[in-house]
Amino acid sequence: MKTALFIVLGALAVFAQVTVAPRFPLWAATPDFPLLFLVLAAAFGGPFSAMVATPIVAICLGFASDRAPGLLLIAYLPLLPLGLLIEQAELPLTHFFRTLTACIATGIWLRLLLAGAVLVQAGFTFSLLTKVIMPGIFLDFALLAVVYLVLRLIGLSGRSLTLPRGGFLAHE
Amino acid sequence: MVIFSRYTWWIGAMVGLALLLTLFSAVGILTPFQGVFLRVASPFENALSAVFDPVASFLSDIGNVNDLRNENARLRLENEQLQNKVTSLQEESQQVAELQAALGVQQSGGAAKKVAANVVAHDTSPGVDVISIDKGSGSGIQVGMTVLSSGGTLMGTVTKVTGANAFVRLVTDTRSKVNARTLETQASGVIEGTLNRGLSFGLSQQEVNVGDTLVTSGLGGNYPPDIPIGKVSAVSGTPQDLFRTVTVEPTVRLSTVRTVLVNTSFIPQSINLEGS
Repeated sequence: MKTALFIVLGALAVFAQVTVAPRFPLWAATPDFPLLFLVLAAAFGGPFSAMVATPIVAICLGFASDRAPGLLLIAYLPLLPLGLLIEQAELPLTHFFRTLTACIATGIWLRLLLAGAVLVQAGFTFSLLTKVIMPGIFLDFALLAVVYLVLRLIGLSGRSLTLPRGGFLAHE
Repeated sequence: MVIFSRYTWWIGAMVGLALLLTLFSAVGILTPFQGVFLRVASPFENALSAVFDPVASFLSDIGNVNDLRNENARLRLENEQLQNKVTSLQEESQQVAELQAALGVQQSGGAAKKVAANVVAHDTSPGVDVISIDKGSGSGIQVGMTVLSSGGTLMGTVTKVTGANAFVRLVTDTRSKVNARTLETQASGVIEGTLNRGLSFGLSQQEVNVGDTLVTSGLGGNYPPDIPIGKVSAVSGTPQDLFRTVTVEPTVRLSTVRTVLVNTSFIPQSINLEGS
């Protein structure tokens, strides 16, 4: 049941990225629904969910948008390690702010990477920061805050990103 | 790094998978799978678009009431001018037909064949402006073909085709380059997409004014000549400047177009989508 729900939500995030997101732009930026899905999957479903969902989402988004799936996979890859790094740094942050920080850091990385893949000739300009990265991060932040709140209100609790000892199959 | 130790195997596997996907993508192994995926995904994408289009249009209209009012007034004026122009062109056309008949000249060519298609998805990741449409090689669409709006404005070029779908790189994509000229001054240059999904007209030391109409010049062979693209909305610098910034407003709002026409009768002479 949980797996089916994750598949439906993941597919919805990918389809929304190529249909809904372009309809609500902020300057040249749009929210990244697949990233939000992966962040929330990791935060509420645990690391194993996000580990499985990351390659599937990257490949599906690559097919739907005709971007290189390999590049998208690398773009979403830092989310879990960053989340774990923030968690293990024992900073005085709540689960929400740890999740938010990982989302923002990965959002910056993926936008730089995806822009870099097509703007090699033009080079990085100030407008990339002001028209793409900053508004995109703001949109991700706003949506994540709303959805996180809703998920907490319906009773879901945030989970650790640390993989339990005992290997891959000992996650639960 | 110790903190990543239990993720290391996964990161390694993902990097390996990414490399494999890049390799498979480059040699085209993934294309059939992509075709199947798009065929399955199209109905869901259409359903999501149908739900959110009215919401997006409503929000967009609310935010642009003043702009829309000004645009409406401008379009009314333009409409009147165009109707007058149509009347005079009809008269001239009749005269030309009479003269051609008198000289025994036959008109060459005919109407270009066009395939109508619906926009099913739109990729707007940084620097990218690509749409996918619900017609592919089965409808005679090939890579390099020109895509127009239903009103005949240039939208972009087909960059990839599967059996039932095709991807179109819009002119506002940062990788897009279109040879163009102004109708008023015949200044020629290259129209490129900008980071904020606009258009800029690159030219050097030629006369260009705000309001000039830009059409494809046909140079390079990638696009047929005389397809409308947009109007010059701002010019900075003087004609003596080596490079001036010319901003172009597309004739059609590319992000809101739901139906496009693919010109299947024009086969590009040389396909160089990445520019030189």
